[in-house]
Amino acid sequence: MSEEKYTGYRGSTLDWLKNQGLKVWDEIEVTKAGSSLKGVILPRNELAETDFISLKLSTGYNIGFNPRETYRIKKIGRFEGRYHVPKVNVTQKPELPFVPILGCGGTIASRLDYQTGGTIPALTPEELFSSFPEIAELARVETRLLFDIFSENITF
Amino acid sequence: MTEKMFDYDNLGFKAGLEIHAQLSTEKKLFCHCPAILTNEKPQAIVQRKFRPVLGEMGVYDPALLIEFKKDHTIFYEVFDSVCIYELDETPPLPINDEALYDSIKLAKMMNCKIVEETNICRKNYLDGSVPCGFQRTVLIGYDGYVTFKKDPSMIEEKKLPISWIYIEEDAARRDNDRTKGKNIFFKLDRLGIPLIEIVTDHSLSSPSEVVSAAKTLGMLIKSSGIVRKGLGKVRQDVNVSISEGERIELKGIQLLQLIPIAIDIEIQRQLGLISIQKELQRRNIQPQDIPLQIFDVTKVFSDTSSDIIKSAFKRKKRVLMLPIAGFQGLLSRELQPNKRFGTELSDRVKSFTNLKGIIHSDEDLLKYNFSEREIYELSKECQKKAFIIVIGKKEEAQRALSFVHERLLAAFNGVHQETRHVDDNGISTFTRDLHGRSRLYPDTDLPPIVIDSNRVIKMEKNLPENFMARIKRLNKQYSISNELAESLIYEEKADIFEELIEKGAPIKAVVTTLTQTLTAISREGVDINNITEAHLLKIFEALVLNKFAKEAIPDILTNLGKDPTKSLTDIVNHFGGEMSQEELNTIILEVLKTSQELVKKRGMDAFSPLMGLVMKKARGKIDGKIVSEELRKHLKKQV
Repeated sequence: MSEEKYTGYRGSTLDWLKNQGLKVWDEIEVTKAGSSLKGVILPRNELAETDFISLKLSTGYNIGFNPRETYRIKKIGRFEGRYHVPKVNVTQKPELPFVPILGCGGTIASRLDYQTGGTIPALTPEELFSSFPEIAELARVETRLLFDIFSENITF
Repeated sequence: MTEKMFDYDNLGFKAGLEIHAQLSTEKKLFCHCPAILTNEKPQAIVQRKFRPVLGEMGVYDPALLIEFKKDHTIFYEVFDSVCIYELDETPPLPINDEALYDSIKLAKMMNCKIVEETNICRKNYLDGSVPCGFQRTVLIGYDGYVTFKKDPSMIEEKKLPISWIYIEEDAARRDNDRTKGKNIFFKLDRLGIPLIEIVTDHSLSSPSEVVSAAKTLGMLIKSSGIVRKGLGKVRQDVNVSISEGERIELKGIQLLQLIPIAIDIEIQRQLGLISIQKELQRRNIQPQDIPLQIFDVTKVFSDTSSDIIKSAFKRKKRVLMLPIAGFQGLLSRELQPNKRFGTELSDRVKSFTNLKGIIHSDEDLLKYNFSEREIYELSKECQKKAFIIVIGKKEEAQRALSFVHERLLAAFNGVHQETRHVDDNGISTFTRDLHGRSRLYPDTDLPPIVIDSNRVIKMEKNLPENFMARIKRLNKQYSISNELAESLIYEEKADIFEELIEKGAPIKAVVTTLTQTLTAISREGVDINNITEAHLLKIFEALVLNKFAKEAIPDILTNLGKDPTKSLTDIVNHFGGEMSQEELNTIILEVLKTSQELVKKRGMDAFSPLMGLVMKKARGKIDGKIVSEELRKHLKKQV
């Protein structure tokens, strides 16, 4: 298993990161044949090729580069504290009907997960309210996660 | 060349280009539907509503929220040529390999580095132009350059750095005939056609440089052989700034000639905004002097005779006012021809809400049929200061005024960063604020793509003929001028030119047809889109076989353009049919007879007008050279 600061990286790419003293969320500049790109090292999708390091460029685009090629690397900063569920202050209106929502996984308000490249199901009231704020005008909501299976994994 | 309007160096003028071109692949980028537009009637209409989702950073993109609040309903027109991918009912297929490597080829022609592994990214759009709410877009290349002439008439060359090259899906096309109010219609045929986007850096330093660079990029793209042909298939956006201003994206400029005009108007607009900023400083007005305090002034109009207000009241609308102390006289400042600062605020309201615009105190309010009393009471409400009023349902009118307020605050900083659409006169209208980064995130449906570096190396050794080399070759091989060669390439006529010459057509006739005749008959209202390259090949084939004389080409093309269903053979036969020497002589004698006076008066000088008269009857049926010889002979006898 990879460690938290190297999420998703394996084999010689992981070794290379360690040797360079680089971690996920480090901001770096990579230069090859006189051309430079600046970006933040992202966690790597575990299903993707292992040879590349994922970089989010300042334009917002994601690319991968192979550190075995002759790149010159310079660490220029760090970019942390991302991907948290936003805190929303929700006041439930007591006069509204009570509606319990039972979660069984799936894509309601799912969030992007870099590690798998897929989505992670999310079902706390905060997460629901932050995605669908108008729910608070319709009902008092309480959520409970019964199980966590994507619909494509449900068989009868 | 247009006259130089400004001292561009002194202003710190800088510009860059963003070029879009559709690739000519058979299939779309992420499904196997044909990459074609259709004129068919839709098979079905699908209705959708859009809502924003949180970005990766846990916040909504403000531009997306604004789009959401417009509360539009989107209708998609579905055709035979589209599948359920365009409707977002099935995930994408793997990226179109031909499109991917074609765009890499173009990136290599622009000396770009190719990314080793690329991610398909999603770029959010909530205006409905993409049913799934995002456009799939892929970074291909970076850090390249093209060389261009600084000025078409100079030899001096300059390198224009290419920052990024992307391949992405084209969006659905809006059906303006059906769109009405909050119901927006889109045709799905264009959605998913592979589109290449080229972004240059921001180092062009005069309008003529921008034109020259745009022309060079256009020629390079068109000579790559990978893009769709035709007007509007290569679209260029220009971003413009001056040192005291901001970078403004000008979109929708169709013609190169419009670029310098649009740029000068934009500079004028930025200078105008800067002068407003300075005037606010001079008046010692601060942003805190105009708080967002909105007053309901509906009661002022309780017995109004103003038609717009009366009809608004019927629909339960209200009149809201925002006092704007210190802005007196600034809203009527002209920023572009016939567009004032007030118009800019109004455009913003139109773009962000469903309201029709604003009314402000710099206007002649009598034109709205407001009474003297109403105007007096309005000015009393805001303590005789400047004001803006908006008519609408309370919540929407409030929103409109908050957008106006936001824009007024931005006026304290001079130019506000935004994207603007340019019309045919070079005048621009606000379309949206610049999008934030939070609308871009990786696609979860498709894995990253590792680019095959061996394939790229092979491709690099076998790039299409560079257009600069082609200009030189055309010049040498066919003895045509560089300018002519350039325009043949830019107008995408170089291929058909070479093909016609190869088939034995006379160079001069081909050049005249391609560069003059088609433009001339198009000006006369003939739809030259009906004339295909296949038609031209057939016409010149017939010419080579002497089926008609070259003088008939304009008539043949005109007939074909007016009615493309007519058989080309019939048209050619009509204008062809050779004329004998005797027939010609009869015509010449007839003309001379009816023009006796002219001949008497001008002698041999009457030749030109007489030639015109004879050619009217003989054009296309006999070689013009023979006509001229015969006419000269006959005329000499009479003089």
